Amino acid sequence: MIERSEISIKPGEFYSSDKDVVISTLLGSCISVALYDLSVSIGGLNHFVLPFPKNTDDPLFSDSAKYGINAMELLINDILKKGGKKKSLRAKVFGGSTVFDLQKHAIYDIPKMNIAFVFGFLETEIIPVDSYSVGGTIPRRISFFPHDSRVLMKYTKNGTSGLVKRENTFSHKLLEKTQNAGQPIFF
Amino acid sequence: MGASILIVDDSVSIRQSVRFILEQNGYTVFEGSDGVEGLKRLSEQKVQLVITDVNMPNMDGLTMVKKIRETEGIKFVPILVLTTESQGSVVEEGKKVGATGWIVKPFNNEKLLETIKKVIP
Repeated sequence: MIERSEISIKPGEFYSSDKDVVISTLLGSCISVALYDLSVSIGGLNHFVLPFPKNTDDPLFSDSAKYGINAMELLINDILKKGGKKKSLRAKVFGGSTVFDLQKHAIYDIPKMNIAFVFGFLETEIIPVDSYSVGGTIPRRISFFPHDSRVLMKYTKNGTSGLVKRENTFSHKLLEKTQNAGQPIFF
Repeated sequence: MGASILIVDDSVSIRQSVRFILEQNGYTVFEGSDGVEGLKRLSEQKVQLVITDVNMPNMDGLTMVKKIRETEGIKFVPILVLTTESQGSVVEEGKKVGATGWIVKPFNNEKLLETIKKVIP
């Protein structure tokens, strides 16, 4: 049996590698995208959420969407810095489940908004989606092998007691950050 | 008609997103997907401001800034760097090559517009 290093990522984090490692995360309403360039065996995984309702009809143009775009851009840049090519990138998409009753009654549908955003983004950036598992009501545990792009996914309720709290805390922190986002430095 | 602004970014989503907010506020927008295209646009079109990313294929944003500052006719155009890069050494490099300002993504629409108005009142 092969022993691999396992890197676990939390909401707001991303990790990419050209090593034979496994990157894992536990997802509720958040989204994870596994991105990879198989020609150079480099890939990475992120875990993000759009922090507040979109204020335009288009999923890519709101201030909220910029946090999703940013999460994707950070992962893409990290892969490119390790030798990946943007034109060779492919994706697998997971998450966006409605994991607790409160979300069903929220004034906006967080999981649906996250799902619409991520597919809109990948289509705009012309990054093909090889597979996906989104929506539903049960959290997902994802293990991504960047060397060969394999993903193991299972629905789970084990260890998810703090999940909603963690994802909400992350979302609220993002919301606070937006107050000072984009503050310029002039030279 | 508002001022003309060139956006240089390899991300179509970012270009569309910036274009959307700028056009809504009366600016005319031109696009380039990397430093090479950015320089080509500048040779064809007079603009009042350049907004550029750093990490791009073919020619990165800071190399493009350096080349703009060395080119007669366009060397004085204000350049805002809009990037995910916040590392001090990269920001310093931006200052060294002649960028006017630095904005770390994700940006906020209102703050971006405020910043643009400070640079091109």
